[in-house]
Amino acid sequence: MNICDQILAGKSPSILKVKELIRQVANSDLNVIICGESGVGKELVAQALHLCSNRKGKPFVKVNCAAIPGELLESELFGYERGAFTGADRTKVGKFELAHSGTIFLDEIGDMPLSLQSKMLQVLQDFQFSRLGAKTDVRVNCWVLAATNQDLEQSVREGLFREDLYYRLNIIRIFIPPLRERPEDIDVLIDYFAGRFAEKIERTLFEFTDGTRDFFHQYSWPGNVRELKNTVERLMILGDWRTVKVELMARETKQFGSHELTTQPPPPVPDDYDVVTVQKKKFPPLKEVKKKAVREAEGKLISEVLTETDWNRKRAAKLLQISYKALLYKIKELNLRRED
Amino acid sequence: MGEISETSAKILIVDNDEKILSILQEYLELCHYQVTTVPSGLDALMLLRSGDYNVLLTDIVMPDISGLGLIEITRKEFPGLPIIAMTGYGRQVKNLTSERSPDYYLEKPFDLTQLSKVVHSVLHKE
Repeated sequence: MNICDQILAGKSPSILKVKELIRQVANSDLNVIICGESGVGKELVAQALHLCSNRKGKPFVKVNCAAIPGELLESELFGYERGAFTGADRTKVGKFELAHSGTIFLDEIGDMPLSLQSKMLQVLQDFQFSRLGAKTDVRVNCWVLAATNQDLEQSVREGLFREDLYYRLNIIRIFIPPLRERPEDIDVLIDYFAGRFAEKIERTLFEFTDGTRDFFHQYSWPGNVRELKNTVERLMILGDWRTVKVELMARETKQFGSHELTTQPPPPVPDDYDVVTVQKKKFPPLKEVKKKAVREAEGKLISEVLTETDWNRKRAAKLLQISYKALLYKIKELNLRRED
Repeated sequence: MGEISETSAKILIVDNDEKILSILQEYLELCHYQVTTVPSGLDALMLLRSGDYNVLLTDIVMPDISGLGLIEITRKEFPGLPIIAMTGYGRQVKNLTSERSPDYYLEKPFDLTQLSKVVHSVLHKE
């Protein structure tokens, strides 16, 4: 079994594609951005990239850009000289230097302050930067991997993320779909995590029956692979499927807005209760409904204006009060075509 | 690179817009080239590593491996292969593409006769 298969369990077409992408680009040294919801495994993909590359024996340095306050992130990434600011009583090497000859993984890069993004851009362009308070630049040779669960294109449009930095990071883009969109991975993941955890605790109190697996397939996994892993491990420690099943049902019902369960604890579920009838109706997430409605409204308006201007895109952009480039992007995104 | 006749020249076209792929394929086949089309940079890279092409014609802004990434990898692994880049995006993308020195850069929308001249030119370049 190769490194990719050891780290990334799954047999869905989308995960097989992710593994193929990793294999094809691992020795390219090209900037990679890994996209997907929280808990899908972005950090694992970053680790797989590093371990499949020629940098595998070298440092892998992770920085969570959302976890560090904006004003401290610069010194964390780039280091500082002694005396650079009050409290800087010694020189500190930043994460980029620590990752030299290896890989740096910038998690939650969408949360990087705009003011720091310009320095980040310089590093990606020139492979050098200056520590805070330093007079000379430091050169580094490290592979840059980034991850985000945000829609960075939207952030660019809103002026929260630099467009030039966005394009520099998007040389290779690896998208990991949420677990609910690849149910064929669920059984593989159950066996993978159960196997690994059983070795770790040297025992198991729980057997994954068909009934349990059916429920795992019905559940929507808002926390994705991380939530599934935690659930498997919890079951193996507690050995109590009823309790865990009720917790999952309560979590899912709360997420879809049932106010009954926010005020009362979930009722006990008898062993022979048909889990599927509890979730009579599945509601789509509100975010998806909103996104679809916006797309439809935008498509309708832009089509009308383009027809009105005989597809003169410059005039249409002016009427819509957006830039020409933004209009071209919208036409491509919404797949609008001129009808002859 | 030695002379390659039009009928034996193999062109690989990459674009995530299927309609553009179809138009370009039809036109270049009429010009008697052998044309292969793929919708993604990943598919293109796998084909380049397993096949034998005389020209790469690539879009820039694409999912998985972007045209920028494909050009960089191609330059390293297939240094003699002519690359024609095409995109309809703005200044940022144009600058990033130019940095990677494709043999030609075509701004979408472009005239198909311009494309055939460019393809002919890269095939007969010394």
